[in-house]
Amino acid sequence: MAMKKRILVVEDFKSIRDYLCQFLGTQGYQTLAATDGQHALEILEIEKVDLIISDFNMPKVNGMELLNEIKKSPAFSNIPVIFLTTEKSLDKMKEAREAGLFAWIKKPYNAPTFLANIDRALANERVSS
Amino acid sequence: MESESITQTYVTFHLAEELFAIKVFEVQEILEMTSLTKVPESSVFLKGIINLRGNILPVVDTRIKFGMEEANYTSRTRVIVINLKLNNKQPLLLGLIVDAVTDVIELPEDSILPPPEINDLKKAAYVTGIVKREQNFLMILNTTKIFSTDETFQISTLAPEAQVAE
Amino acid sequence: MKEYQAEFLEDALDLLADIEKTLLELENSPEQESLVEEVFRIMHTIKGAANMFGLEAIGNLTHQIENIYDAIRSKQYRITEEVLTLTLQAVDHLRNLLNDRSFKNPVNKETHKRIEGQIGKLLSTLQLGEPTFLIQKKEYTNRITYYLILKPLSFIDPDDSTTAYLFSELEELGNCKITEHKRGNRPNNKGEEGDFFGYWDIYLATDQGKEAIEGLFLFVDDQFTVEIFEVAVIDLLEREEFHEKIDELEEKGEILELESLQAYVNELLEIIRLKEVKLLDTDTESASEDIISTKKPNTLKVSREKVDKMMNWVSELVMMQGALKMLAQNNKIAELSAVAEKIDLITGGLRNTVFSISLVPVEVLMTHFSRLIRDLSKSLGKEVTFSMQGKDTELDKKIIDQLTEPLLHILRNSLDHGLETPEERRKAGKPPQGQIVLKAFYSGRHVVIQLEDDGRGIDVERIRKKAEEKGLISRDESLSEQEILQLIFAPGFSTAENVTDVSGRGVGMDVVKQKVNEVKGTVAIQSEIGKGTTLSLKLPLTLSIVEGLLVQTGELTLAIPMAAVHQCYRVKATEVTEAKRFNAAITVEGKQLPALNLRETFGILSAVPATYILVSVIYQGQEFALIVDKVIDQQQLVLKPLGAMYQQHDFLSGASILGDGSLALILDVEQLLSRFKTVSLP
Repeated sequence: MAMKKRILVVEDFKSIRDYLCQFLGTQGYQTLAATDGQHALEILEIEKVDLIISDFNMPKVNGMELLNEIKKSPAFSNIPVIFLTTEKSLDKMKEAREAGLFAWIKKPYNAPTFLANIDRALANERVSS
Repeated sequence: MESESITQTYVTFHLAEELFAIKVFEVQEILEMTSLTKVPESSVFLKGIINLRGNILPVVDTRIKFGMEEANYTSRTRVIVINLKLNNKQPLLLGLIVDAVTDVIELPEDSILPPPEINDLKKAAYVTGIVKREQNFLMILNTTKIFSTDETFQISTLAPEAQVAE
Repeated sequence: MKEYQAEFLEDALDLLADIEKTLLELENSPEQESLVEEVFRIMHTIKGAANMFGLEAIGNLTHQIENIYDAIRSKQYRITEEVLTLTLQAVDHLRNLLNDRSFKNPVNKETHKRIEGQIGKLLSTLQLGEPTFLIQKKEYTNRITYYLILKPLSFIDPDDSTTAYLFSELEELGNCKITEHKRGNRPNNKGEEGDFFGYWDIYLATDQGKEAIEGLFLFVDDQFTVEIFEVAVIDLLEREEFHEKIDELEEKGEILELESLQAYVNELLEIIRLKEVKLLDTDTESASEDIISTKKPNTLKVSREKVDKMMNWVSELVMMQGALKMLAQNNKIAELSAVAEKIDLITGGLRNTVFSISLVPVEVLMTHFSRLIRDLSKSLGKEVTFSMQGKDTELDKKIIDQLTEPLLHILRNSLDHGLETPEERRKAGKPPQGQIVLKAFYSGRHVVIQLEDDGRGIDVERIRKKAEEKGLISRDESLSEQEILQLIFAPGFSTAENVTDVSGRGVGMDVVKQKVNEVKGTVAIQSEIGKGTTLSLKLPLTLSIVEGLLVQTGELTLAIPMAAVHQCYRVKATEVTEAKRFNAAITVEGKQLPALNLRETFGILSAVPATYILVSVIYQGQEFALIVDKVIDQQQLVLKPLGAMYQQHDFLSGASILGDGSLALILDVEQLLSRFKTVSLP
């Protein structure tokens, strides 16, 4: 009995949030949605989540802060996090990498690549360095 | 978890001695009778228009529409604002002037009987059922049917350009 | 997703409209390169967005078309009639696909196959096959060529898809050439050597910068290492010579040392520079032309919702301003009155500007018409020249949207029935090419759109006979020519017999008239046998806010649009004696005016005042008078529709909410007066 994997989508733009959830839904994932990092943390307290896909720039708690919080907390630190963002700065990418980000996907995403990353994240192929 | 019989909520109102009911989700709101602006050349039951928070609401005298005698408006007179959805177009708001609004009640579906032979053809078209409640008979109305046969709603023919003066 | 997709759909439709326009222009000027670039660019944009949404079919098709136009702009192929027609067909099909993205309609599936096949054929004649690693063509920006050495840190499973995805991401950065070396000649980072270590030589030309490349490999840095070297400041991958040389080197199987690579590159660059200098003269000219040609004026694209919201705010403002005015008048505070007046002025200005935003020049119809004429004239075997006068004339976009179908129908009729074949025309002594002119101009507070053809004209007798046959009129009814022509708009007039494939499709002239009426317009026909037919549509400029003259008649408060008002006169009640609705005439200031007593018209029975006010209006060139009790004020009024129940009340444009919350009915003077036949003055 394989359970559907649950992905938490964190994105402050409603239309993108809705679209992503719809898209991931069609790919066989169950989705949860949060409007910003703060909201995401609240959801994590209650719901089981297998993967977090988050925007980088968000109000209240942004992607980076969310990532740090998650990796700090023993309960959530093993949940892989993928950023889906228009942000391109290499420095920010490095910082996120240091903090344990699984993958950084640029918007607009190339669907096959995006999905491949999600698959890898969920299969926990990551060899931690 | 479903109960034995499905119930629906209705708003009931009086017209002279008769009691009527409309499904509550067809009702947008209920207003007190307020000053009407008459629109010339309207049919006899279209009483006029009122200002409903910045929009124009046409108002119908339901007594006249149902073929009853007209009556004076009292402090109990109300305007029931219903939302008609005609021909899949945009919803249309309309006000129905009634003598009084009596109640909001729940009626079990299976208590609704088919309407008896109604002599008045006008009424027959839009009474979809009848319920006996305590000592009274309640006539269930289908608001869409009240106006769908009306010429007012026939959009196809508009007066041609050249018209002879009367 | 719906919002997002809806936005994409809207944008895509706009883009397709742009392409269509450009294609038609291209037909007339096939040498103009900027037009080809435009088509290429737009297809590229649609392709990108479609792929983002996983709309593969659309993405692939646009990609194919992009390739064709790429070939055209790099002069590998010339624009032909065939290509243009095929592209236009593809554009139509894409439009359909946007609404039927999953091919629910089997017709779309077939069309798709057919078009793809035709494009495929075209492409194969150009030998534009697609190598495994896509070599994309030149775009505008500055690309730098990098050389990358990609090494895995441990054994890579040949089935691992990670590299495939990495490579597809690389391709997105720019032109890319990847050579895989299975046998490890290079030691890995741990200094280990061995057969099972593979690596890749990658040449990448991108304008995204080194950071983008680093970013790409950053998240797989536990699996791969990459060394990035900048090799040339131009895109070497565009050059045949480069590819040849690299292939040569790679085949040798040697490890490519950076120095030798660099040396080679420098050599190549020299050769290229020399070539460029020769081409430079001819290149710069056409390049600068492209930059200078600005096709569109300084415009902004604004969402319809925003404009609607803005209109609503302005409407609210106008209503409140009316209330303010009333308060000022009632309270007689000087400063308040002054402020209220200023606000009146400002609101008026704001209103005018905001409403002009939704005004759009009728020119937008031009593409539709040109397209229809092009397609139809071919299939009907008729020659047509189409021109437009007054294309800058502006109309509310909503009205234009409503009228597009009716106008197209009228156009079809004109082409099908109105215009004769070239032989018939020659016989009649007319030039073989038929003329269709679309005119648009302002007239009073209306916009008039006329469609004129110089075809055979309408036989009034035939119309009459037909109407009699259909029972629309009786044999002995006497009708003027105009009235007979108007019968064409009567429902039930056009039937199967005169409906051909072309002008049929269930859009009768009665529907045309109905649509025009819906936007409060009128339609008229003029025709002369042998000479031609003209259809005129008269439409109101905008709908929502009206400058009106508030008047009182009995208990009715009415508003007459200021645009219609000519003058006001005062008359004694005794002079308005006739009980008929339409007074024969009233003499006022020495002239005789036909007058309409609104009390009589509207059946008002309250006590008659001592004096009346005559508000005169101009209707069809004549001055008419409307008799009212008194004039209240002049005000900006927000027109609120009366609703479907009052559809037949054509003499009312709507109602308005006054400052004190009461309602005024807004008169449509045209309709009011048109109901009555003009009474001839003695």
